[in-house]
Amino acid sequence: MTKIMDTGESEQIPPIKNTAIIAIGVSVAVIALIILQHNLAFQGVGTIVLPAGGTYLGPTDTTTPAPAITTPAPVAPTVTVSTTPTAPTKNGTYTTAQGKFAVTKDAVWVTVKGNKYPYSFKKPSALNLVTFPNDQFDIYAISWNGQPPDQNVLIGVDNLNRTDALKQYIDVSKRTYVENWWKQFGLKGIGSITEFTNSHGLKGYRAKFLNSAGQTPNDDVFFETPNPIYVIHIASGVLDSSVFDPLIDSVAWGK
Amino acid sequence: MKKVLTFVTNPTNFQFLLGVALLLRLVLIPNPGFEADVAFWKSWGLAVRDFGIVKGLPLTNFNYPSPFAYVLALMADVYSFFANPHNYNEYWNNANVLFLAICKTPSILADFGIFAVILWIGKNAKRIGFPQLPMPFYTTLAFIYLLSPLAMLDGALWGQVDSLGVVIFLIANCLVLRKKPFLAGIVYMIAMMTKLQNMIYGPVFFLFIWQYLGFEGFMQAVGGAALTFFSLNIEFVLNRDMSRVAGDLTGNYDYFPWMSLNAYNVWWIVSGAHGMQMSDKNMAIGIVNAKTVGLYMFASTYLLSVLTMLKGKFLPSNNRAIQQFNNEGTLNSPIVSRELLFRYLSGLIIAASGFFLFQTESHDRYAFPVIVFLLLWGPLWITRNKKEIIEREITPLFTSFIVGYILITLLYFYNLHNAFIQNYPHNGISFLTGLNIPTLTILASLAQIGVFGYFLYILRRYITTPIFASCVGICILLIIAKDMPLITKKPVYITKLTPISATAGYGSRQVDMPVMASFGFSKWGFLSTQYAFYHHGIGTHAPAREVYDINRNFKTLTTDVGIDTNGGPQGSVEFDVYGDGKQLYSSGLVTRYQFPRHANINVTGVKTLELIVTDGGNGNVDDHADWLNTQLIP
Repeated sequence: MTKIMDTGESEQIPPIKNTAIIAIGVSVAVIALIILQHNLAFQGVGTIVLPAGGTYLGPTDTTTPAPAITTPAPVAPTVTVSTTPTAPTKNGTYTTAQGKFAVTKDAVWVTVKGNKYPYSFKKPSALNLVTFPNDQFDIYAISWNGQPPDQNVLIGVDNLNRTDALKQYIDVSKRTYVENWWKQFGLKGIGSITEFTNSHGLKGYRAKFLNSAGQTPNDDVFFETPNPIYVIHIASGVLDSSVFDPLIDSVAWGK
Repeated sequence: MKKVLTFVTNPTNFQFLLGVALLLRLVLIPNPGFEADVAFWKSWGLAVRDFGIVKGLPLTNFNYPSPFAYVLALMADVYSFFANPHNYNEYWNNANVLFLAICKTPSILADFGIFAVILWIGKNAKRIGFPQLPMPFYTTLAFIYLLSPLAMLDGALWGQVDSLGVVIFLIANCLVLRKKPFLAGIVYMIAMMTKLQNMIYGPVFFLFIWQYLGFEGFMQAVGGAALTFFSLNIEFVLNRDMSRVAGDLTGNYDYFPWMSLNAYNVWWIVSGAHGMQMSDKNMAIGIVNAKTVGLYMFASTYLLSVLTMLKGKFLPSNNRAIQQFNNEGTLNSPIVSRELLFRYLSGLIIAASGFFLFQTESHDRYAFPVIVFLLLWGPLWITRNKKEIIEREITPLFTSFIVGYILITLLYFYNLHNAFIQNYPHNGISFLTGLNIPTLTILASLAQIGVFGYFLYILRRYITTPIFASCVGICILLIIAKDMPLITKKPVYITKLTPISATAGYGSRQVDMPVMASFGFSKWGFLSTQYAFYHHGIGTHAPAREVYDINRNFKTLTTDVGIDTNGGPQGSVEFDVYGDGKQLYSSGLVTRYQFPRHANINVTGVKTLELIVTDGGNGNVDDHADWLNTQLIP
């Protein structure tokens, strides 16, 4: 038996009144939960992600810092420090007399993983980190105290295949790389380089480079990785040694 | 299949499936999605909210059609109703669920909009010329879209607005089928200003209107579109700043100069699955670079889509479809109308696929509209040549179409998901991460090209061998014409080649003009060194570096070099030429008042050519450097 079908117009789709009511109800409930989550449970979740390139981030004032961001290369931080220490806040953070970020002993530490490269490290949960979209260095920068994150790069990975000039460092001791690293950034020279191995077995070089004033305000730590083309670079920047030292000891490579 | 058809039309099941589709999307909202896109939208929307569109956009690196900024500003406005967008640590947090919910809502609603449009088409099939299949067929198609992992990935997970652009474009098409061309033109322009890729469909869309509604309908649609364009950009019109609008429409050209932006297409294969690491300014065929070859291939494919629509007959003026428009009557020529629709949708799919598969710099998401167009094309395909629609014959064809369609969406899902996790591995589906293997991605590219080839084969009634051969032939002829200097061993001005990269220490690289021309047309002029004038060359400024892929096609580089006459007295530079990293030429120190120097440089076997200008050791003040009459000889 062959059936010639009826037209589409003669058939009705199921009534959608109830469906619409249910859908609106569910949506309102979920949106209410979203707003509740936003207002009550926001702290300590996620990472600040800024758009790449020169673009608007909001007005600049003391409470809502609005740095102009470009995707940066790992640079030696330039930090303007305050000299007024603060008392610990309820999440265990305080500012040292040297204007550095510090935490109390009972602060909560969390693990952070690279987005592109398989590195990880621990940081105080109250320390806000920023990533840069499509960033070839897989950088985390520090967003703290209104200072521009692109000038507060904490950690990044340099691919020595990136340029011909860097390829010479692939098959040699990474100490050579460290000894020449400062030349890219207008620094004056090397203060000291100390070799060490952290508790995850990564071989590191802790360097102090001389700035144009002949001072060594920062510690730059470089880690070798199992793959010789990658070097992890970490800069102390605004971090007090009570934060920076445990952080570099927690750095690991691998899934 | 009959069970499926019965299942979806049961009211309870209908509501259940709709609820599932909604819930799945709501669950995906908190995922940070494609964080770069979301971050840009936060920035652009906030700027427009704070300063208005005219003053706000210049504060940003906005590169969408200008009116889309109103949508983004609305997102920021809605956000500010619940929270403070100037709270830096909250607003810019990638786990800002409130903003994620707001920015993903348009695409989620658009998914349901597409669902509704398909149902509307089914319900009005007789009136608008679609096959009069029973409603369960159209309901099934609508649910297949709504429940597709692909649709959820693109909108609710990724956070993109492809579905919004598609649904607005579909509404424009529905208005054409309802014979409201002026409104259709308006809505089409809204679609284009929402998602610029809709511009690609413009020629076939307006051609269809002409075919379907006659010249008068065509003119009404063009009028609606033009009016809407200026209306949507009225603030820029009143501020006499239309250059901003033009810039937003053209700014994306060459924005990402790579072979393939994770689109599994021809160039993904050519690049060996490294589409985003290989410049599309590399030579592909002779001295024609990949971008140009891609443009020729796309243009030829587009011609194919137009010919598919025109093959057979361009409806004569006494055709019923046109009479029907004139008389506002009921369509009484469904076969003719169905034929037109079939060819139009086929043309749309060919054009959209060509854009995705053959152009370089193609984004992974560019094939998304094809997935929707295919769903509308399906009913026309399974009922082609049939005056009477007979269920017993149609159901197996429908089943075949659905199975094929699902396989295609899964293939494309693989492409899109890989692109997503390539950028944000933690935001994707973790157990699929292991499938992101270069060899598999190349196989997927081949499969997607193969599907397109099969689609053309299905259309062999329209795309006859002569038509196909003509389009391919035109593409080949264009490439040969571009390669003629190489074939005839004639010198090629280096300005005819596009550098892989070019930097200048001041201003920007200028073709056939000095570097000062980069500061406006009042500075335009001829290249000259100590008043020796040249028609051809490159005006730049130390320190400058230009890199070309010449792919071992040339033997000699001839050039004059010197400091441009409009450079100041302190100008002193050195011109260097490198081939594959090895220095081939150095001019020595060249100063402002010297006459041009000439060089013949052997570049035999050189693949990568670098033209470098250094500052001569005294800083780059007044270093206006000219490469003059620079030619490559095969």
